Amino acid sequence: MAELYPFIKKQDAEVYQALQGEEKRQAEGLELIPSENYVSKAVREANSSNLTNKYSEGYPGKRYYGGQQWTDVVENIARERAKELFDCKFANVQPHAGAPANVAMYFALLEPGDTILGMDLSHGGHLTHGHPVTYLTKIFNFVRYKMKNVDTGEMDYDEMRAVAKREKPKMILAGYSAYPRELDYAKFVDIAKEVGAVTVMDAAHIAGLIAGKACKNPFDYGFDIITTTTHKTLRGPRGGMILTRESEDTAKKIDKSVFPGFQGGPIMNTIAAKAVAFGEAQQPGFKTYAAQIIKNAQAMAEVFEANDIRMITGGTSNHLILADVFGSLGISGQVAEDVLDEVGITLNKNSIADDTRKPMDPSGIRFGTPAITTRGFKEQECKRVAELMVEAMKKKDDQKTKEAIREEIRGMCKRFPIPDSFV
Amino acid sequence: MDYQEIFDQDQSLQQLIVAEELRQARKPTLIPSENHASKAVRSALASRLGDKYSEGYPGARFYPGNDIIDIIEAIAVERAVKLFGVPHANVQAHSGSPANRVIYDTVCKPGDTIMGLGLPDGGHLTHGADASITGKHYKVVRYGLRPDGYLDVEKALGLIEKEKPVLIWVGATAYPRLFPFNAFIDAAERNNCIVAADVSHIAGLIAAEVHPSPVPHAHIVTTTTHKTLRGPRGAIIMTTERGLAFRPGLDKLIDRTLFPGSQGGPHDNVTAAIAIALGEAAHPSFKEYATAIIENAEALASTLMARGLTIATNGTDNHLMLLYCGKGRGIIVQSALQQAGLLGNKNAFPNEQSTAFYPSSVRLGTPAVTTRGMMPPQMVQIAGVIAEAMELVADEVLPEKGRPAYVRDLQQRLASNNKLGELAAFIEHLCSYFPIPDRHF
Repeated sequence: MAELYPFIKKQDAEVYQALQGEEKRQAEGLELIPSENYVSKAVREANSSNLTNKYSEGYPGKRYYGGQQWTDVVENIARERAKELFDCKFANVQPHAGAPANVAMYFALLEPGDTILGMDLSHGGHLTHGHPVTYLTKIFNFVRYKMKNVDTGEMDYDEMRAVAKREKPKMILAGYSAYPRELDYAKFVDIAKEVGAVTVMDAAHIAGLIAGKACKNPFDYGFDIITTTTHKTLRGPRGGMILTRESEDTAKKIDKSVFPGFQGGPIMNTIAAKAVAFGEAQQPGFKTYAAQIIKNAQAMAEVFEANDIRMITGGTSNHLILADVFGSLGISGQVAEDVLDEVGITLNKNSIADDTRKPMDPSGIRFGTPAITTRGFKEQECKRVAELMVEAMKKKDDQKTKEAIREEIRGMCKRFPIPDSFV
Repeated sequence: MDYQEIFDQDQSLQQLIVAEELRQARKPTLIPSENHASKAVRSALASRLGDKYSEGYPGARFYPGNDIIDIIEAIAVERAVKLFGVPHANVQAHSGSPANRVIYDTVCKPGDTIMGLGLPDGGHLTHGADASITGKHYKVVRYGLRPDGYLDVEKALGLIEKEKPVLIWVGATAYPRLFPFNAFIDAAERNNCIVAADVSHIAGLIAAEVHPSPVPHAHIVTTTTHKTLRGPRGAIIMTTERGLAFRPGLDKLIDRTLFPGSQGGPHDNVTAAIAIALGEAAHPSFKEYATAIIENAEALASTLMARGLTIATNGTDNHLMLLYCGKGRGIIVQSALQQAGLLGNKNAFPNEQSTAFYPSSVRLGTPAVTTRGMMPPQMVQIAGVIAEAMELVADEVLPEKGRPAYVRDLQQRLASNNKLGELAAFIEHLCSYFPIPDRHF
């Protein structure tokens, strides 16, 4: 095997050692954090390209600096591929990440003081959808909708309509980071039309599932805008993106807000990596990957169900599962996270809907299948992982059992190494 | 083959990346904010650290599996702290504009008065320019330049007393002289105003101690990591001793505003690349590099002036200079230089008489050509090419109307100008002796 990072090794032993450690950690453990994934070597090569050296403030054809003949082509490829993948007319691929994409989008379309109707954070919404710790809440007025039934995941669309009519939001925001079901996008659009609001989907978690046609595309139901990260299920570099279905006027406002409103020069090496990742997502194999993510998550849910562990919404229709381990097994999310970490499974504690426990030690765990599916796991392996998880949590104080599980996990990782290429 | 994996699955993109690398190799950039990062820095960008979520800070993360990421971020922070002599550094901001945004959100409320150097006078978009969101959310008071092109410090101090801003930005993106960082702090502290130094352009010069540091005279220092500092695209936010004395807890407040206040998960592959670049900047050879940047800039400026051209403030103390091109003619000279194989960017000249999009000067800098190993003799040759290219477009005048069409036509005409083509061939030949290095020491 070729030596990793020969140039770093030559000059910086301290960082080199840590990088090697992280390679080993990723290789030998199972990654079940639903927002994490493994990107291809091609994506990582693009990230390491000399495009990092270029300043390209502006957009293709309209840059402030010269020397853009190739960066323009690269950014156009990324935009065209994104538009094709999500079936929309406009794409801005410059946001540095998901949170900056959302911020630029808010300020493009809203005035300070305007109201945004978004998903309740304890029912799955993201920090940037108006968590009090973000500065956005000082500028916009966030109001909430939530699930009607946490055991089926059904949203309370009547309540959403009532809140919309009362609060007159300028924007209705769908999207989430911890909700395992599909939304009824057509209902969002209906309500938005009634109150004259723009519809935005933050698809960061499921963008790959949408691009791979395994989840519904909000644009098909009339949504105006999709924001997303490009890492997660989309399996690209860390970055963000804003897509506009139809309105050129909206797309122009978004472009202006991203640059010069919020950002300076785009990170062109990352934009090249986005283009590579979108190219991968256009391959037929990506559809198979996206479908397998969901099959795998559902296989794991079956095991949890058979073991009488309560799952929020009763299961999953996407890549993630939210399990009430405190209610079902009597151990907190933090304890479960620690025990599973010991046996080589990485996932995160998470608040469940209407959690009575504190966020730093909540009742639930959140886990998902994007990364292990990239490793090549199918239903059979995922079921086995779920069984091992349940066993580890139930016998959390049994050192011998945990060691045996750790060994089995290590063996699975060996059989399914992280691939360098997906095509 | 370079980028083999991309080639295997996406040939057209691999070819584009290689084409861009060739372009960089053959056409040296004199854009002062650009540079060439080492292969070590770039290979960290390609590491699997990009796959990890690490919301939080070392030792206090929201997700597990961060034991090694913690070590890497701690190394980056520790190196920044040591290199700049500050008690606290945050390396998570995605880039310079987001870093500055964090400062606003930490110390200002919308509607507060802030002060910055005007954009045409060399300030940055994020220092309160109209086009930036910062110019919309705050009441912006601008300081500027004297007729001789030097900072009008006296006027700036008067504005602090009169307008009592809550935040003042010190630092510039197109100022060719030593920035008088020490001039503002007393007036600012008297008026309960935070002084934030944005040293993005000159961070490498400061790290190498060839430019005075703002650290003793500012509460906060922000910088990008990719310009003279020669790292990956990213940023560092530092809190100084003075800042902690003036606003106890300022460092923690900044950390909290950055995450969870405005960003999500940090880009750990970039953090590793920042750590490597800071390691390079601490190496003794970096001081030689920074010294050479300034010597080269002086040589370029003095040769251009000897050819009868006008340089703002008659020279430079740092890595950049502003070359006067005639009213509104920056785009003409930028276009001519591009055909001659050189990249500079149009920029406002002190006391600009034209518009922001059609300014009167071209900004030139030496960080990237110095990374290639060029020295004053090569600057003399490059200055000669610049002067000749300018002569070739001496008769071009920017029209009052139909400017975009004129520029398109000009660029087409220049592309087929044989004399500019000869200059480009000369520059390419010169570059062949100074390839972009993979290693910086």
